Amino acid sequence: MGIKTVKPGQADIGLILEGTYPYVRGGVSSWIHQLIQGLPELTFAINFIGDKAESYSTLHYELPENVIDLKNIYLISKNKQIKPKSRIGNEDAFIQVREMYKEFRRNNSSNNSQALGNVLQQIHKFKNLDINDFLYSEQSWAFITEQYEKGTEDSSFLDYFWTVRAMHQPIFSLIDALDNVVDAKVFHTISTGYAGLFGVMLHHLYDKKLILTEHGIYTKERKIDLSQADWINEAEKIFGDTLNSDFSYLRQLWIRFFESLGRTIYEVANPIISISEGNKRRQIIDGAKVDKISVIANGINLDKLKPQRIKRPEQIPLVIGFIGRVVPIKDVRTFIRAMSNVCSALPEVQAWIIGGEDEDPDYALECRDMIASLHLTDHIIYKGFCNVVEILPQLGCMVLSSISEGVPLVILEAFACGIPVVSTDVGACRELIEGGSEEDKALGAAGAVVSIADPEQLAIEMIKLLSDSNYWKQLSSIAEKRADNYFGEQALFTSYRKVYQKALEK
Amino acid sequence: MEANSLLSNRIIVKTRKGLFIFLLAAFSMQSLAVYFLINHELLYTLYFHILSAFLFPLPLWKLMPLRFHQDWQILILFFLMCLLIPFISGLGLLVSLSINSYFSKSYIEEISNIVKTPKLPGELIQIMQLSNYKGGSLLGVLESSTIDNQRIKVVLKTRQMVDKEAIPILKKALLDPVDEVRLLAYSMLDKKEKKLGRLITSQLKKLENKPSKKHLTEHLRLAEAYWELSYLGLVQGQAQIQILQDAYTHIQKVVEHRLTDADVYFLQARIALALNLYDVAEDSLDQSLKFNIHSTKAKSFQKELAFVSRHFIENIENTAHHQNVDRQKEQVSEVLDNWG
Repeated sequence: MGIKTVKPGQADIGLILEGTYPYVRGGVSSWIHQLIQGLPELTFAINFIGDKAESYSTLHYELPENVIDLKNIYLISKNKQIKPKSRIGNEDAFIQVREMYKEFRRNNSSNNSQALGNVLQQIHKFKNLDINDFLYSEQSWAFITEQYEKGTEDSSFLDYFWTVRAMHQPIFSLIDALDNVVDAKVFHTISTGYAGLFGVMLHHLYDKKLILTEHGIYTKERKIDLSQADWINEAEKIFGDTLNSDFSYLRQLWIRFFESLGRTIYEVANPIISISEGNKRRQIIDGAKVDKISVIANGINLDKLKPQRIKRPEQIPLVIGFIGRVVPIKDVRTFIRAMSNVCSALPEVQAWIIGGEDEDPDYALECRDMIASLHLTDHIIYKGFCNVVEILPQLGCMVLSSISEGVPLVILEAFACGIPVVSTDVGACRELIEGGSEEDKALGAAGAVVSIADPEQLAIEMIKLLSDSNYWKQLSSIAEKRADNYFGEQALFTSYRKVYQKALEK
Repeated sequence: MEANSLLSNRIIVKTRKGLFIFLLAAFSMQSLAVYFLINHELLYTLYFHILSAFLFPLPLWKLMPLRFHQDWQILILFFLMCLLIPFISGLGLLVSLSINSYFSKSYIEEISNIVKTPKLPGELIQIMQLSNYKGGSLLGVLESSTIDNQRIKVVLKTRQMVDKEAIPILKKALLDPVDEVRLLAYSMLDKKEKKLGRLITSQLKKLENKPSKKHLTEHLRLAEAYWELSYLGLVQGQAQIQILQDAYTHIQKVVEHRLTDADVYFLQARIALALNLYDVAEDSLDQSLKFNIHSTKAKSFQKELAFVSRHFIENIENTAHHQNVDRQKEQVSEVLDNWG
């Protein structure tokens, strides 16, 4: 655990961030940076949660003046070597643990948070339970074996035992971090998962108010990962495996773990802020109470972007921009494949990939190999991280081939510069391109929306856009109007100012 | 609905009365036959026995479950039984069929049982219980089910299918309105593609490391992997053409050295056909046939090639030529399959 204290003291808002700002570039990080800068009257402290220290060594953002503290919490800690030693374990603490799991098993239970609070008191306040008790005590062993015998039909005890260990160890890392937490009057987590859980811990132990803003839906994304994960050992069902049969027990256990975390965080956080109506619907399905949710849309600095419109060349530039990190979720490979078709139809076209390759080097290499194997090295150019504001007027269109998104800021920025966008139908992309409200929809579409992983359709839309100047001008004009009417950042700052003030007053 | 069931009930009652009269008549004839037998009047005995044998089968046949009512041969069987085994056969059949109809569904249940309209689609419930499902039934669930979880399960079940069948289902799932279904399908497709991608990368590295070697195995693996990417539909459009061209380049290098390998020629034929190189495909197919490619493999490909290249006449001649060879082979094919 590393502590980087910039200016110690109690902050107004304690941000809890998992795997994003200030170590990882991207839409969510930019949004956080924008929010901090937009509310200079408030002070912020950052509790950053990551898997291991090696992954987060460089700050990618210059911390604004009003960030007074930054602390890193790592879920996998190499420094802590615990020597095994037999122990009995506190019976009362394990009674609370049993109660907590009973609550977690009841779907839609509204007592998850309280049950978790009781266990946290046992661990943190009364010191009745620690990582050694969890790993080596007789009570722990009895509890694990009891649970195994109760519910597991299709998994070996060894797999179950190690799954339980792997699942719970990061929680003890978070509990350890509580002693050195950066103090703040109110805490704001930008996702559920471990960051949200840390917020729940702070709420129970220090009676801190917790605000939640979700950009992507963490539980949903974990569920997808877990449904496919190869590291979960499971016996293959050969007989009697109908479509009604379910995931293996261990896979279900992992999924339930993150679902329970999500529900618990929704129970504690107030308000829950969603960035789009679509995300709000999803949060309700996952257990968030509708009266706690409010939608605050993303916004951008229009004053900075609007002057770029006059820098656009007279002719449509035959340059396609892909602005984003080269990571699997952006599905860069679909974009590359689509470019293969586009280059065949418009041989003089170029594509610029504007974004970092350092986050997932293997994937970046795969993409480069693909470009080479499709003989597109002359057409697809890596630009690395660039000033998006300078780049946008040079583009003919911007493409987003992601398989999952929230409300991508790059679409807002492209529209502000009058650049049409072709995007996959994910997150709020359709809402942004075709309009959200009825009045907004009446403006028309400022680009095209296609299905995920469909390079052919993506290529068709790009070709159509770049080869028909009237069509392009029409879309460009709609993009500008939409940005002017709906994407200003002042509404975002005003809304968050109110949210924070209300929380601070209490 | 009520009027219908009333009518059905009446029909059933009438049918039952008819059955009873027939049975009574048959037993009466049989009793008379016994009576005349005791009195040594053989002609009358025979007469009433034959009459009884004629009367028995019809009510017995009616007692059979509905699905046997189309089969007139049963009537003949019953007649012969009643004729050849007097009295006992009729009585035995009556008792066994009555017991069977008592324990199975009655006529009344079968006709007037009210079945609730199943939730659309009607077949979904049955499909969900199947342990041996095929692509079509899974696609049905994917397209029709309104329950997200069921569609997720369909996507997961493709793990147990061969790629060629699974991929169209996964591609369909990419269009699902629910994120979970779409993303799961995406990640499963991605996994399949990555597996082939890794194989390609590793083989290419081997080629780079020792450029002086012939690397026939590596070239063959590369050709197979590129072909599979295209054949499974994991790439489309211009990218697919590029991948097929790469596959063709590699298989050509193998063909140059393995002049008697039927499978290599056959792979070359398939790649060439996909690239619309019909002449090359035909030549390669001829070579593969010359070196004894399995006839079932070759036949369907031959027809596909003839259809795509519009060479129907040549195909008929070619087929006729190879049929003679095939006939000879067929006689020992089972032995070859088991020992080959």
